[in-house]
Amino acid sequence: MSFVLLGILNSQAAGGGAAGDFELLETTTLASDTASVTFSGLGSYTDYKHLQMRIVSQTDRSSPGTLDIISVELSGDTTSSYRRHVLNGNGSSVSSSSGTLGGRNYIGYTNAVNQGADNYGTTVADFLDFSNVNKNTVYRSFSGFTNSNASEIMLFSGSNFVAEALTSLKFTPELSSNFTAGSRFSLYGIK
Amino acid sequence: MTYELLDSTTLASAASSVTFTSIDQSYGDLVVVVNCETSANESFHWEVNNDADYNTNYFTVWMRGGNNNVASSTSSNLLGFLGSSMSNAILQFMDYSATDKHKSVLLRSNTTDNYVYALAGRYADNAAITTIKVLNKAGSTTFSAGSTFSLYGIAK
Repeated sequence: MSFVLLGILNSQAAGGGAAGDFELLETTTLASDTASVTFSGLGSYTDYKHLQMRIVSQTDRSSPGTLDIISVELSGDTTSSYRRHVLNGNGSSVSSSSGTLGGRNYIGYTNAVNQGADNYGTTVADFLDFSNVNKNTVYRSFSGFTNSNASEIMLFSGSNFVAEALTSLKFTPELSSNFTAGSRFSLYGIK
Repeated sequence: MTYELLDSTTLASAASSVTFTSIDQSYGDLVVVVNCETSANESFHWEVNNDADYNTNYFTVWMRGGNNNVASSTSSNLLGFLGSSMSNAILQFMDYSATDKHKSVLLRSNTTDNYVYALAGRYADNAAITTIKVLNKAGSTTFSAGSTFSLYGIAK
């Protein structure tokens, strides 16, 4: 099994690969609180088969909220009904859910700044065969955080049932106004 | 290079822990890949910066499936349940070299005859991570000879 395939299967990074097979494409580290983060022009990365997002994030959600949700908009599509399936553990029980959302989809959970200014959540997401125009856009993600009032570990699958190439990714906090300064969004290409 | 092997160890004899030291600080994230057998089916753990104050500085939430049941709980620094059949674990330390964040970790581990785990951990300290240790806290269960441990750096 190739290192690259092993990396995909083992979810969000194992192995590595030869030089150039797993490459950093773009990174945004927020210098100030910001309402959304967008990676556009993904069509210029078609030398790569898959994309991976690695996110270290926090939002400005105020108390009594103890967590936040990261939403993603695919290819600027604000009208479709996105679909998701989720498996999560909250420290007490494991649950499974599914749902639809208009114009965006959930991709991870994260910490709210009121739970500690230095406490961030993490999400790693893979967008497979992202430039294929004959397949619906799908992703899977692995996300989690801990704080003194809530903790979550989650596995997501998300999709937009539109067969098109993925051209942009826009991330927004679902339950607050901004990602806080220091949040980092890194985009990688995998051959 | 974006994704680079920084260090690797294959055990010549059984050991209760493996430590990566003097970790290069020039990457964004670290990935530790463990492929192992252990002397018994047992919980294993992660530790950074030689800080053994597990009950104060480490927080982990986990969920697992296997043996026809699922469960979720919290722990200080659990890595998962490893076993005498082949097991594996992948630990991802995010923004490990930052000095303005607690250190967040995403973990997956599997035993071939017990559980599949997914975990999210946090080291509640802003210090950059310079050492990573995987261990059995009780110290009585060992990694078997032939077990492999690899450390990778991912640029950001």
